[in-house]
Amino acid sequence: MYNYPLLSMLILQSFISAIWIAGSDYQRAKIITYTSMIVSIIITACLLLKFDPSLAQMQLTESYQWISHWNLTLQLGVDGISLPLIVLTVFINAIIITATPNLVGQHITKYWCVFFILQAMVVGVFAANNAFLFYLFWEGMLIPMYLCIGIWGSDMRSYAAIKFFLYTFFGSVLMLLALIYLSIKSGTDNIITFYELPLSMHEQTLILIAFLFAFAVKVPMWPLHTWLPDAHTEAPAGGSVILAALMLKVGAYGYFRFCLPVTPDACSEYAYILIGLSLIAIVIIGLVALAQTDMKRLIAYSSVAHMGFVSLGCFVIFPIFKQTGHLPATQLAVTGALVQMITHAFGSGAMFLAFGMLYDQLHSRLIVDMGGIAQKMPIFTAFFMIFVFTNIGVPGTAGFVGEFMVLISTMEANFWVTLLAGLTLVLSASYSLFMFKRVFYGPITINHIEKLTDITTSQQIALWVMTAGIFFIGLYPQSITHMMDPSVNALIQASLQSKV
Amino acid sequence: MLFLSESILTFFILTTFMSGLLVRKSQQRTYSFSMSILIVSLVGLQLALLPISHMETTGWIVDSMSQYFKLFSCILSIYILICTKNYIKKSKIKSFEFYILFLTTLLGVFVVCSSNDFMVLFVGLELIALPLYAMLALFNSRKSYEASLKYFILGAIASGLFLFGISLVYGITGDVTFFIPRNTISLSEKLQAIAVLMVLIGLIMKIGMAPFHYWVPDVYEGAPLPVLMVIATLPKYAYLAAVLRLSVSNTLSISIIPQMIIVLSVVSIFIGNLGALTQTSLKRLLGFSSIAHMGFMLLALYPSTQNFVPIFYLIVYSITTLIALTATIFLCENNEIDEIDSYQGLYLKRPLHAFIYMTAFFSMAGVPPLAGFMAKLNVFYMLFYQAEYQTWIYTAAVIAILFAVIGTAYYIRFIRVLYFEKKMQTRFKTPTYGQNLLIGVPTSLLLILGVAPGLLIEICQNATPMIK
Repeated sequence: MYNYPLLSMLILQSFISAIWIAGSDYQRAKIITYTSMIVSIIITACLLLKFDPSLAQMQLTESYQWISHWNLTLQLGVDGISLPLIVLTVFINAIIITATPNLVGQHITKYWCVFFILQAMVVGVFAANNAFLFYLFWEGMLIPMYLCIGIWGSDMRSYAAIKFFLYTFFGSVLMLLALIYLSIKSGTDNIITFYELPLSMHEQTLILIAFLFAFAVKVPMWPLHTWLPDAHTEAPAGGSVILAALMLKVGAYGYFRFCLPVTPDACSEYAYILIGLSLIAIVIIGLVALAQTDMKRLIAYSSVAHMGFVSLGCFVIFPIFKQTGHLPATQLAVTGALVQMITHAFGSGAMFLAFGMLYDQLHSRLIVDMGGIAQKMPIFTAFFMIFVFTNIGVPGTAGFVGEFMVLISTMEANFWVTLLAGLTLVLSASYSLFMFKRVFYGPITINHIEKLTDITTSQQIALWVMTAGIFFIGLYPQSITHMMDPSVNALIQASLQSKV
Repeated sequence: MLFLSESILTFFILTTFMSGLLVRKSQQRTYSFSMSILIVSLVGLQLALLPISHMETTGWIVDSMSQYFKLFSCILSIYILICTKNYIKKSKIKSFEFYILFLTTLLGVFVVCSSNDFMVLFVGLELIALPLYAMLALFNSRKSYEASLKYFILGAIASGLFLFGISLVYGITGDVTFFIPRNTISLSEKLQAIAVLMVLIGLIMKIGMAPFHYWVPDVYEGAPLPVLMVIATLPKYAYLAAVLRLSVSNTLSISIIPQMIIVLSVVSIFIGNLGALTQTSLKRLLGFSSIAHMGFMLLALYPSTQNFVPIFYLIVYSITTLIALTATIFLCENNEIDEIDSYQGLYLKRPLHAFIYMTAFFSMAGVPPLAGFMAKLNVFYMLFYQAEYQTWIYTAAVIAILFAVIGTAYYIRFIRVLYFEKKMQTRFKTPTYGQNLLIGVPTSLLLILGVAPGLLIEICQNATPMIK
């Protein structure tokens, strides 16, 4: 087999089709969209085939000269942490492109265009191996997302879009300064060289703060999460799905790619603060979700609560290592967090997708406007039930795997952390089931509901694919974890070594 | 050879001026327009094709920097001339004079780029400024008279301060060359610093940086679009050339002047971005954003070993500003629509122009993958590169970049007006295919420079002055 530059092909192909779609009329755009979606999937399949899961280092690397004056290069490559996320990106994007255009109604060609640009950017973030390319893609996501919320969103879209943009932009610029500092200090901007760079505690602390501003806003971590409920609620169906399923992952990916290995001592020093913030996200935001009257907001808050597990699994490795020195437990925590990143896309992402289908007919987000939907939309209800189960973390569904792994490993660090984190099982069950009961069961009291019809076949296919994903990961998590293991080992090696 | 491009320019300005009077009134406009295009292209070709040789006499220098700067300004001039053609045609002014004044400004830019001592520099600066005052007053509207007067008074004050600085320099060194020798004379460093400070204030006032920025928004608002296109771009090349010349001859490293430049830059970024937040007029907004951008441009001047960064920044800035102004000129022609809210829903009827505005404004905000990001990345990279672990420079960088984020708010607010409103109220002109091409090319340049800036960086490196 030849060594095609698969990663840059994937990114460029999305870009080119986005530009092509923008310049075409509807019929032609439709053909281009579906063709390039299939091409993306084929390239991703090739990536999976060519990837060797037994190696820890970056694979399928590509390197090009960029700005020779500052010694910046363009480097792409994937390892076991980023490849599953790239696959997820292409997968989710394919679902959005096929299932949601008829939910937005207008400017459909532009809608496809925006999502192909987003796909290129998100894949770029996961595939970038040097700091400024990473930053370029990271910030580049803002433009299409801003337009997506602003053009196709609901009533408060301007406010939500601007809030989203300013929050994320504010966080990112500090990271830019940190990246400039690191790359001047190490001479190149290759992320791997940052790992070996000796940094004093003071430097590490400042760099960690800069990184946290960028990543914690995106993840989002309490108390920087307030943009998320607005953005999710106002965004169109496709926008919410991509926000929940991919955008948040990009932030969490930053923890693993930058925070842990570049500033290990600072992370270890402040681990308990970060764990505390994660627990607040899990518990308090869980309670906040319980009080929501807006169904989309409820899903948004549950999304924040579940992302708390990712940051928990990420930073809990330091207390574990300090107290027990037990490496397999730290490995379990990191793997759990990574799996949670992927399964969260199937929980929250799928719920947002399903909600978009409901909203298309109902035109209301308030739970009081619903009730008894199960009688009119039985198939839809069945699907939604599965998504609620995976959100709760019922064994057998995807949601269970990541949370369980993180919970087991936190036990090695501190019992109370586990107890608080474990509360999520109760909390998420209560808000999800409570919402489910109010929306789908009970008698039909509102005339609106009488007119609902069940989802169409094409919508069913999208939900079937999501459901298949949920059960596949839930029953056979090995499929992802065997890809991750070597890279996770390497990551932990880098993170538990002092750099001072 | 020393004065080749200036001689060509002067000769043709005079011939156009004389012969233009002989041409019939009805054809004067076409005649002067085509003559100006011809002249500027001729000079541009001469600059681009002839090999650059380094020549220097008292007060005058021809080197790669001066030639590149002249070439940049020629290219800009041709672009501005072509874009403003229709506007000039439809407005009831004596367009013949507009072109003569325009060419004289260009001559002034040339003189500043090649100046090698303070006196020639001063002559060049006045040669830029005087035609601009006249150009503003040429258009018959109260606002442009007001702008002209304000520009004139504050420009005169700037010139006065500048001259005062020069006289101090002469008093200290007995010479007017840029290079001020240290410790050769008994006078204290403080007096030298004051002299340089006066010169610098004069320049900064002309560039339009805080705290001498008050004329900028008013003049931008009052200036008719063609004049604004000139004011916003062309003279800035000359001013930057002057600053770079001073910087490489170590004039700007006396006492605390370098630190002061950084502080002034950060203050400019602060004032420019905060001031722009509440504007409702597009031109005023661009005025405030120019204050902030000039701050960014000079932020990386310190301590002047690799000066390509400000040049790169200025080129990107002038491309973005020109795109925004040209799009406006093509959409509105002579009934200038200045209210930001009038642009709402532009996306529905003029998707291409909405996209162009969006690209320009995101680029100004510094969002990748656009050229504005690359420019800012270079600035901060340079700043950190030179910082050598001085904490206050890192602090300055953090403050500057946080204010840049505040600045983003008004850029994206304009984009919100363009894209997020569901109805369109104002009737805009339909630009022709050629006009679309004219703004399409620089817009794609912004996209290309954002991911592949290598070529322009190389050009800018050639355009940096030699260090003495």
